[in-house]
Amino acid sequence: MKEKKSVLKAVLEYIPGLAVLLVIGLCGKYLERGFESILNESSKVLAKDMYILFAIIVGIIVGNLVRFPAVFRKGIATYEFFLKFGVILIGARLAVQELFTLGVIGIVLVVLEILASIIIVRLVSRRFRLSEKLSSLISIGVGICGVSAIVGCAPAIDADEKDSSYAIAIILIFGAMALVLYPAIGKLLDMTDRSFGMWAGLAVDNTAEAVATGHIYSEAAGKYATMTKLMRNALMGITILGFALYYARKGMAKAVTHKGRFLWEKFPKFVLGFVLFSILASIRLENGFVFLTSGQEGALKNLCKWAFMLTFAGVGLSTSIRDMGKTGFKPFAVGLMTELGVGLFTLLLIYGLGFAGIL
Amino acid sequence: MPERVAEKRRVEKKRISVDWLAVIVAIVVLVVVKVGLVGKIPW
Repeated sequence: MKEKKSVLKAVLEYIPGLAVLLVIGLCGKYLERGFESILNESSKVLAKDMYILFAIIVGIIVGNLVRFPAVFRKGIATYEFFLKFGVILIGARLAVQELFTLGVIGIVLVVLEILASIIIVRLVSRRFRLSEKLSSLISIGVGICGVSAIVGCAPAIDADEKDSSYAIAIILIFGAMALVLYPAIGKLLDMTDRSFGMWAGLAVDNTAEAVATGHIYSEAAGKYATMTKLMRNALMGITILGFALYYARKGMAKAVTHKGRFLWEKFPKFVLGFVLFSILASIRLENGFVFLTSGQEGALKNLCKWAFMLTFAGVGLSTSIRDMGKTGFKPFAVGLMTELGVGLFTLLLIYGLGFAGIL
Repeated sequence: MPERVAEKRRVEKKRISVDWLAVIVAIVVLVVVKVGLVGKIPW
């Protein structure tokens, strides 16, 4: 009886924060409807999936004006779960053949992007005399997976809390900028959904912002951005291990004893769910059997939208403008130059593949 | 932003369980949709 009560209590603790996410998310959804209603028939496409951007904007405004008591925190933090859940559902919209064809190109692009990030950050950091560990955290944040990679890497290389804060602030500042700038650049360059999605997946740092940037451009671009970003996430363990071994050899961090376990611990398991859904949704037999009918696909697609609506409300609420402002000039300058460098490098890679007829 | 770092670190510690939870919930949802317990999900 006591255990039942405690389970119920634990569940109830999430309700206030979840209610806030729902209200902010619904504001985003109805703002999208309002925006769509003022557009003429030929421009209505501009409003598609704008609930993501509106939910983030409303979340940022509310989160920076209202200081929520502790009772809301647990529920608001669930946006991390909804992001992963939504990403897994996107897998059902990506044919496994496409996943593997683009996967091969994607892995090469991701490895090049990670190497470029590390090199660019190192060069710029030296110029600004930033500490080696802060520069490593920025490299891993820009190169791989934004905030999660920084949080995962910081203990492995014994980095300072302050350095982690700086690196996270940089990722969040430029992630927020990417939501507006990247789709605008994509439209300006008239990029295809696939090219833009892969570019966003390669160049935007945080998973939530990369998925959002892709979806703001178009639904198809969102799918490609998610897939490319997941490849970067999948390489998180191996890159953090590389940094951990480097600092351990220099005597600046603890040695890694079980490398296999380290890699498995850092591997984002929800990527497996994404691949599983892609495989299942691709089952089409000669006798006409399909694993998912179009109606079932539609239901999963709408559920994914609900999950993202809650996710991006949470992303907005967790974006503190005041905290971003505390970033020092040097880390900000390094972040800016790195983001410009990586953004341009990945754009050239995508264009190069386009000219070669590969993309 | 120490609060954000602390919160993310807490999430990071639970990251594996959140990852698996997302996978499990997604599979349950897939089964529910597949067997037709839920037909249409409105948006």
